Amino acid sequence: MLTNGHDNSPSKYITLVSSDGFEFVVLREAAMISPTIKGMLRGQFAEAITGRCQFPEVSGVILEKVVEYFHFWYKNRDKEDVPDMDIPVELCLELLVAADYFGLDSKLLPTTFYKTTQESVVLTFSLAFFALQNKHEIPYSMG
Amino acid sequence: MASRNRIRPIRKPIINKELSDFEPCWELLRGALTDVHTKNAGHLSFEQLYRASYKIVVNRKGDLLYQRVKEFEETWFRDHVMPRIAELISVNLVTTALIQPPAASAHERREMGEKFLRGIRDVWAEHNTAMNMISDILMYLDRAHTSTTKNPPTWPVTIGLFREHILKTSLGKAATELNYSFVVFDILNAVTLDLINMERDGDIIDRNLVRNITAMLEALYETDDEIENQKLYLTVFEPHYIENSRDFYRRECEKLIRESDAGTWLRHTQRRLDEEQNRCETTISTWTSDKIAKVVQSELFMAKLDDFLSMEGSGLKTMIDNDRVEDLSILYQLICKVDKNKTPLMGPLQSRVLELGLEIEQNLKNTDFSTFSAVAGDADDAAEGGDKAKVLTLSAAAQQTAAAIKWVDDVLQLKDKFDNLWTTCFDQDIMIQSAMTKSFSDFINMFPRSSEFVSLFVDDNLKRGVRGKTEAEVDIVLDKAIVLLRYLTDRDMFERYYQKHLARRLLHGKSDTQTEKWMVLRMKSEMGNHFTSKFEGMFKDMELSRDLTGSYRDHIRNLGDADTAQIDLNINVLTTNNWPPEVMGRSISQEEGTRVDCAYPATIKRLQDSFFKYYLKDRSGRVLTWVTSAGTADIKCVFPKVLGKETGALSKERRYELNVSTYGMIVLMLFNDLAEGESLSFEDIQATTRIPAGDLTRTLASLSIAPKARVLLKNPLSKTIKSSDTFSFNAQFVSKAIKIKAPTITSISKVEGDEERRETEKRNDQTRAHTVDAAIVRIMKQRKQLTHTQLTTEVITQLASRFKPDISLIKKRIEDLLVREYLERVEGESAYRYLA
Repeated sequence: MLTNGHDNSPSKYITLVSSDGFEFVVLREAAMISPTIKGMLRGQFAEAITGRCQFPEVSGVILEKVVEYFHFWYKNRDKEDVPDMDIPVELCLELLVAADYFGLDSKLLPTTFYKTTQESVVLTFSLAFFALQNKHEIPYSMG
Repeated sequence: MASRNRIRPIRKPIINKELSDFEPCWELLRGALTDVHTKNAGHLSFEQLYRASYKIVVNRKGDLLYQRVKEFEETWFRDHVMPRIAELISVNLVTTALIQPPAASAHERREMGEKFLRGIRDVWAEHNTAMNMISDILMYLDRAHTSTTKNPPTWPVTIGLFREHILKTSLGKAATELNYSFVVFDILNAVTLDLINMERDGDIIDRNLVRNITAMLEALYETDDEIENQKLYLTVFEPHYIENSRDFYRRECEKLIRESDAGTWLRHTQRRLDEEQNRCETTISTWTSDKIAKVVQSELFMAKLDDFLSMEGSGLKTMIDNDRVEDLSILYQLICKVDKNKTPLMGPLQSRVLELGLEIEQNLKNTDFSTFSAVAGDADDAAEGGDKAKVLTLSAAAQQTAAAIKWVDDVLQLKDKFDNLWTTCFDQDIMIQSAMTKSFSDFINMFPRSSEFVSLFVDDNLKRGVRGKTEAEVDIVLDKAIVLLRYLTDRDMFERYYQKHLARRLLHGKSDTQTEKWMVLRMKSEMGNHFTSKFEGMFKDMELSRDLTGSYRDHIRNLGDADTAQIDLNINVLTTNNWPPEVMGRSISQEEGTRVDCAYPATIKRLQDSFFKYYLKDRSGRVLTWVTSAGTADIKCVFPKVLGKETGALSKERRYELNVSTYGMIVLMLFNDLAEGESLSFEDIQATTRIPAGDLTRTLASLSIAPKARVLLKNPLSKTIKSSDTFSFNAQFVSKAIKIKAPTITSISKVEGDEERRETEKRNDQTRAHTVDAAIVRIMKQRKQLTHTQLTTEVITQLASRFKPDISLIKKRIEDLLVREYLERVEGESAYRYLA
């Protein structure tokens, strides 16, 4: 994921680790879209000190998609009429839960971003719409 | 549906099974909360804690978690935070801060206050950091749980503990030992304000500390709902601060007015405003900037503004008189902030302009202008050349002329002064400019002779322009004169005087035509065409006359008449309407019947006839009248060698070219026919020449009294001309210059005597009467019927650019027009109807 790594200053990047051991190096600024990660990094907890965030309950497949979304958002944050991000149908339910976990809720997004991209890029919403439109049964049961 | 499109169900987490129940999760969190409070969170995984609270909420135990956290924090706060604050609050502190403030010295108070504030700040900083971290961990709880229930989020509840249990409570020993009820907030306010007052008095305080305290108050709200305008800073601290500052500045202002002057006060106010601005930025909060600026403005500046401005020796009067540019700039800047209309500045400024203007007039009356005779002489050829007797006879007039020029000079200086203040201090404020213009106009028009004086001033400068002064200098002065013109309301009077003075300048070639024309052009653009039409006519007459003279000379040359060719005739044909009656000869203003042509010598008579013939050849039906009083002649005179003188100038024959008035020429020609040693009496001369007695007296005076051109000897030798005097040729006349100009009294532009002035006013009033008549008829012709008031207003508006007509004059003219049946009264109303 180190696509635009022309600047190798370590503080600009953080590492996200999935339950199955995949590691994703993410632009710090991009990851900060998630209030959860933001809270993780601004306090004085272990993650803030090491710059390494482990997610024992998020699989690599899902985390990859979330990281892709971070960068998708970061790249398009100042643009208008941004197309939807490609979301594989089979992952949408798991992604919905992950989005909730990462706090990717439209209410928490910066208003400018929300305005320019409408519901298209807001992950939670698009997934929910997708699920409803395709009338899939949502096997949603927690615990 | 293809299998890869099937939505994958959520897999239950395999690991961390222990986190699916509430108690283990809470245990984990509780431990973490303690670690956070003891600054021991470095080993904790945020993810784990977040997930713990996430699980609890997802398992619908959020409510329980919320209660537990609240209980935990309250307990922690009571056991670990409040005691630290209570320790800070000693009896001494409370007594000093709240009960008897002046008991301790400033130094002690500062030490004690800063210690207290530092304590509060440290506790707050820890509490704040801990609460931030905890609310981050509990983020999911706030998002998913408290947003659906009515409970406020954890953050305001936990941070609010500080407000509820510290600021709004009384703590410490003092609470129990002193019979005085207080809350910690009171101490906080009192100590902070005391520190700020110390800084105002010049002490150095820990600004950062105060800023930390106000930042804390900005972060706390009255309630857990966190309503934006309910911040403790705004609801509690700021009102205290404003009230305290108001007291401070009220006292300071009273002290200043007792002990200081206006200049110091202005600088002090300016400094205080800057300080308060700076204080808001560095020590308290920028929210207060505008409010505190208003307090300083009203308490320190406006409260005693009038008292300071009227202060003897430093108030507005002194500032203006001594050009205290800096003081005035500050004053203007401050007033602009307070009052858009600038009334406190405008009034005194206007009255000062008026006062200074009237002072000029007063000075004029009190000044003895005999000391100005040098200046006057500079302005006047005659006074310079006259002998003592002349100076005495002329001095009254010359002094008055000097006075006129001094008046205008002074007015211009005053104008310069205020223009300068306007540019440097008043930011070229339009409102101030118009106010000053009005005041200038007021005092200039209060002075009855302003029109005449302004014209005289222009006259003087145009004449001077010919000698010495550079063109640029003259231009500047004339520009200023134009400015004065703008102020005059009686422009018709000015027009009259200017016409008179211009005529003299033109006829005697005293000024530069280019400059004259340029001046008239300027007036034209200022006042409009009708104002300068006569002046332009005068220029045109002069030009036509020059051509005429040229063509007449050609004509004579072609005739080959050797006899008349010896006299070089330079003629000015003047159109009666364009030129002032004074120049057109007294005869015009006198009765036609008493007008007598004087007797010209034969040679002159022939010349006149020759010109008449030439002129009327192409222009039949015109009447030419000789205006003897306005002409001059150059005479070549030969003074013979005086017998018995072997050396010196007298031993040789002397030739001079004498420039005299036409009358002077006629008189001198008489002596051509006289034998040596013979003389003529005043009466003889008058009888022969038929020159009016007054003119003759003046002419003889210029030829027999002024030493520069004393070509006649008078018997007896005295300094006045009497009708019994006799005159003879002065054969012993010597002059260093070849060309001599006999002083001509008529060419001096001087202030009119009282009688002359009455004459001018009378004539002006006549013209005004006609102008008003014309205006009334013009208006009525158009409107047919108008009430008296409407008509009066219309007339005043129409004539505003020329003069300000008296109401009584208008009334009189209406009466007159009624009699002459241009108008009739409308029955039963005070209205008039136009009769065609």
